Amino acid sequence: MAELTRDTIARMDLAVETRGLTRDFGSFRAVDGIDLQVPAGSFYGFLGPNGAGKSTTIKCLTGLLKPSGGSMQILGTDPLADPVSVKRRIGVVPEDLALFDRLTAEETLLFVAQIHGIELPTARARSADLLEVMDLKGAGTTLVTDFSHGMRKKLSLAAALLPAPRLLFLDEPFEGIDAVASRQIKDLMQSFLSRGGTIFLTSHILEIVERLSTHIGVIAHGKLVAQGRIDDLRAGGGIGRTLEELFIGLVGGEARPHTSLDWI
Amino acid sequence: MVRILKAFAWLRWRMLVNALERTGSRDALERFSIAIEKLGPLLAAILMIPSVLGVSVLGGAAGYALAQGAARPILFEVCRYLLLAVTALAIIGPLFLPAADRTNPIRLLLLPIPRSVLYVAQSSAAFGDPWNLLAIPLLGTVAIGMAAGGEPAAALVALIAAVAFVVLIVGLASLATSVLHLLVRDRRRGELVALLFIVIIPAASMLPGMLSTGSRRSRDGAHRRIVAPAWVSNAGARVMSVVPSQIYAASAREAAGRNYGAASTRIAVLAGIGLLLHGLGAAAFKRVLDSPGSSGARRCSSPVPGRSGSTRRCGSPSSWS
Repeated sequence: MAELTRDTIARMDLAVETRGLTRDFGSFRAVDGIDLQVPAGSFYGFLGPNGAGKSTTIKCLTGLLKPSGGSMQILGTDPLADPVSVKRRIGVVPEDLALFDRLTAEETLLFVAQIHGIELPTARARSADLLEVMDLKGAGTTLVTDFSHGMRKKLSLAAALLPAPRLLFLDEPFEGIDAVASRQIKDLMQSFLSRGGTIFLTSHILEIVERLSTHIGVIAHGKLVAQGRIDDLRAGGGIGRTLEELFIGLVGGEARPHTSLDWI
Repeated sequence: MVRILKAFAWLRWRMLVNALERTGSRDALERFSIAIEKLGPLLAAILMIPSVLGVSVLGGAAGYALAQGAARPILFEVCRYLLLAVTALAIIGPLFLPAADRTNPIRLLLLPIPRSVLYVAQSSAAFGDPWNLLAIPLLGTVAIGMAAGGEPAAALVALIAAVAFVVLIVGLASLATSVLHLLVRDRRRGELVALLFIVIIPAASMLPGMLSTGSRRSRDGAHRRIVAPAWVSNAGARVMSVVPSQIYAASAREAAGRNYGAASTRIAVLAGIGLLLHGLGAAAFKRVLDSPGSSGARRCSSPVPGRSGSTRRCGSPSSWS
């Protein structure tokens, strides 16, 4: 398994660090003792095939699921010991988006602001900015229930960004959205990174991860099979190797038995 | 905590207003569906005002009659039955109400809200249930009626009993909501519960007729007296003695009779049951938050050959990670 070198880690603060993180569902082990190291200020792409344990990991990191074992540090704080403090400093776009259908876009952002204790004038100003950047300004007074999937993704990202977090967790943010919305989200993520934020993203779309990420972690069958700077990992597998080739090599896709499907 | 509770009050208010004001409809069928959906809350809102006035008058008159020394005034008996219905509705209400936001606290876990505050916020939603909106003025005006009838001390005791009763009902509703959420998050278990519910309701409706005492005419025209078995009567009396509405009613009656010691004991029992229900409700709520239902995962335990320490997954792999 490729790893960040000890010196590199020592020089960098870690935004996310887990040791032996484990999550069981009954007798099934969905996450099997993973040691994540996400440097602060990095764009960390967390990859894995369907069912590998990506979303379970992100749910453990964001407090949606309690791990069965191991330890975690998010921005230097144990989220199990002080979950509220951690949640004040992170933003999350979960897979199911977690929006209230019966609120408008503006109301959704104002509710999040109230929970974070943001003053109303500041909340209104930030909401207006975010809705404009997300191209949702005209839909500010529309109920979330009438939003398209892409609009919901953008609103969920706006809600995550509103309290100005230092760390963003994005679970499949590009799934099911069009190229325009995808571009807007990418621009916003780049802007967030340039201001010193850290992004932890899961995605099936390897091209996007390859283009945006500085670091990646690859999970398969609940185990972390690779982690490090994306360039280092690619170089380790041979010059010119793409992320897709690297990924398939790591998760064992090449070894899968093929049938000829002559009957098609 | 106050800030978060204020935010929740605002959230519920906006959701209610949006449910009544906004349509967002796209076609005629959807417009019709939304109109029907809105008709219920609108009618409830319209009916609520005269209903609140009605139960307030009823409560005031019942309290006044109690303070005047009537042992079992009929108006107070009506109040007692209404409060019994409130107790029953606190248990079965979560099955009927569109409680999407109340029963899904998972989404709120992503926000910086302490779990204890989340429990309080979720529980306090029970104050908005229509039956509680009717019970609170009823209980309040019983105490006011007693004070107007010249028994201020009894009114105070009745008021304390009313507060204990409301806290208990909120705890009961909260527990029922969390238990229901735990049951239905597994689809198969949810269907089983729905089936049981469908079978039990008609069966339960037949019970009073089967167990009632009275007379029936037999084939030959003679009247035959039906007497319920003694154990049924005893069990019924024992069950009714611990029903919260009965305890509240007994407490108010004893306070009106200036038997404050007995009334206080009953209030302590109400408070004890209330605390117990809130404890169980908080535990069930914690279970809701901790359980993996939000991942939509269902598991099988049969191992996959060739993969040590692993087990087979059920359903779509995409629902797993």
